[in-house]
Amino acid sequence: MEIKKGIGVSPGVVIGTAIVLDAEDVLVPRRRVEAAEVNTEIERLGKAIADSTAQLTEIRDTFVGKYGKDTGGIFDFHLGLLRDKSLLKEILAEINKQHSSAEYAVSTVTRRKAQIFLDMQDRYFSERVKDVYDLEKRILGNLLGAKREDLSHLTRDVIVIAHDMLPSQTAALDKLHVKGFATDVGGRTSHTAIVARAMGIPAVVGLGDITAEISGGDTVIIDGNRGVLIVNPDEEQLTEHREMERKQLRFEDELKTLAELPARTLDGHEVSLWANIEFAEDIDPALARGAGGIGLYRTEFLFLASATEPSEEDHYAAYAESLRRLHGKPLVIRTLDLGADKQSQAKQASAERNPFLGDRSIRMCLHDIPMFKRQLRAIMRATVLGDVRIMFPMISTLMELRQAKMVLNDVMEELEDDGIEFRRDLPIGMMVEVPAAAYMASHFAKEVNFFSIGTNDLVQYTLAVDRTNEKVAGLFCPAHPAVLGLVRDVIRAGTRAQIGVSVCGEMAGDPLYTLLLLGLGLMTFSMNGPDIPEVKKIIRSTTMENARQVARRVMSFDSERQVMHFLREETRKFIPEAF
Amino acid sequence: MQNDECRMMNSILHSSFIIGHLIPMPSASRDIVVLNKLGLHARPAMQFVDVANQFKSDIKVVKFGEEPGEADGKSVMEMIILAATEGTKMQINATGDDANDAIKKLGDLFDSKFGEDE
Repeated sequence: MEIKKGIGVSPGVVIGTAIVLDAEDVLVPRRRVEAAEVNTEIERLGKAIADSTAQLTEIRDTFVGKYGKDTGGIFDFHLGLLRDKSLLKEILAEINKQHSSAEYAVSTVTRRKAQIFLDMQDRYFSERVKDVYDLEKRILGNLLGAKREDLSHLTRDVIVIAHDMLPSQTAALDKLHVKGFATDVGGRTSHTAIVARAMGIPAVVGLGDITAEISGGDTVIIDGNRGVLIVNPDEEQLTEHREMERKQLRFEDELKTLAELPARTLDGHEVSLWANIEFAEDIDPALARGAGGIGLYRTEFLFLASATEPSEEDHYAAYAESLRRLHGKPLVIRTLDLGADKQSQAKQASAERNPFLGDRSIRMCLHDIPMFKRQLRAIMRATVLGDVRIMFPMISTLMELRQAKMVLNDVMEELEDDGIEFRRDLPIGMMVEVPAAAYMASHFAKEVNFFSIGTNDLVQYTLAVDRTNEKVAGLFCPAHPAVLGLVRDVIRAGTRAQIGVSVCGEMAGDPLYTLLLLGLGLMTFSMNGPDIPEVKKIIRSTTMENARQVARRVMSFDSERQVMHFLREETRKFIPEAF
Repeated sequence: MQNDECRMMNSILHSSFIIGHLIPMPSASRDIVVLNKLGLHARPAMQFVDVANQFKSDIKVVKFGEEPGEADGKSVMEMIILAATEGTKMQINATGDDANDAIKKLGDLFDSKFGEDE
């Protein structure tokens, strides 16, 4: 048994079987097998080598056919390695003596050889290390062939262990069977954390080097409340955590009964609790938790989930499907917000020096008008199907907002020319997530129908903290008085201009900040579905007057520690289970 | 002693074949120098191993010089790991019934620079 301490980013306790992903999205296999399985592993190895040989022979023959006999040499060399008896013997010894799995044995031996090449003086010989890696990859690919599929077609419940989850990886996951996440890196607002909370499953991040320490098939306990991961727990740990699992289910059941009840304060103020989603399928569970609408549809996942840019029809199909599920409830569609931390693997090639300050989000869209228009056309076409609202992300200057609106106008005219129906009066909003926009909120308020405060980016840009860098992630804190001041000003500017204001960042779903935001005058909260019941419980337990008092007190503090300490005390009065 | 070594080596290589074989095997050897400009790189190493594998004899290649080493002449991985650059002095040893033939053929490969110009 081993206990690892990380950062709990999504609450709950789960006990399950681990699968381990390496950085290249390949499942790292079990390291050891039972003595009885040794022969199976040897057979698997034999088959993988035969498959590799067949593939390489075909590649060589095609190559030689196309480019002449001399070009086949390197493949002959790889084929030679595949039938190298000494090498095979070394791999077999790993399986026989160490009871390694076939994959692990291949990896161990090839890495051993690779090291010899890396230590060589002569450059030509040293470069042969690439051939060794190539061969390893090919054999592993054949060994893992069937297992690779597992990720999208899991047949049993698993806990995913990874270095970090890329958005494209989570998009491809079979979410039904994933019961928890644990990663080497990341912080409270990393992508893994967001996805885990949206799925309502426990997650612990920032665990250091767990991908190297856990083997697929190990039993692990993830305790998202305490930020702990237990590898191969003993009987006592299992009993204790099974009890915690049960308790948590009871609490969840209690919260579910809240779904039917209105989010109204004791003195009769009605608050809108909306959900953030990534896929149309997320809508049903969100509604079941009591969401009054979708306050943030992150459309970038349409881009990340497929290899090519989505067409206008892809967009339209997704929006139409969402509206069908919503039965008239509002849907706030945020236009493409691809940024540095949500880059698909394919696009990472042209890395920017400073991507968080670079060509992302609305900037990227305004640099690629045809792509931007495809999405806007689909959104406009969907307006006749329900309550659609559009929202532009990462606006930092009035010019940018006006440009975006101009492109939208162009699209409307084009649709009119094409005789396609749409609603011209759809509400147009913007994300307030750059400090410059927050500071100028009263000006922006004249040109949009609503604000949505994206607290994650607002915190990052205000405090100059990269939330994905584990070394400084501790500085990332929404309770910083500077952030709270900006949030207050934006809510105030919006309220004065009589436009809608919502918060759609992590802050909205964190019960710690519910009283404060309510007291600052926020009447629309948009959060991950699983967070709704808890926030609702607080709203239903307090009065507006009490919330205002809390807010006034908080705004008088000068450090985030004071803020958090006070909010924790106040919140505990309503939901002692939460802290 | 030689018998023991021979038996050990053979029991590793063809374990089913030689237990109890106490008569010394025929053996042959030849000193050579790598003449190819790129050394004993992937292509010649492959050629060498392919030829070596045509014989029943065990083939050992010993590398002299600053970084001495020894390789199984039938293993392309071991041969390439020798990292024998141009001018490296080596010795090919064959042990087995066809040892003489093996040494001749393998030596010819070096003499002909493995059919390369440089």
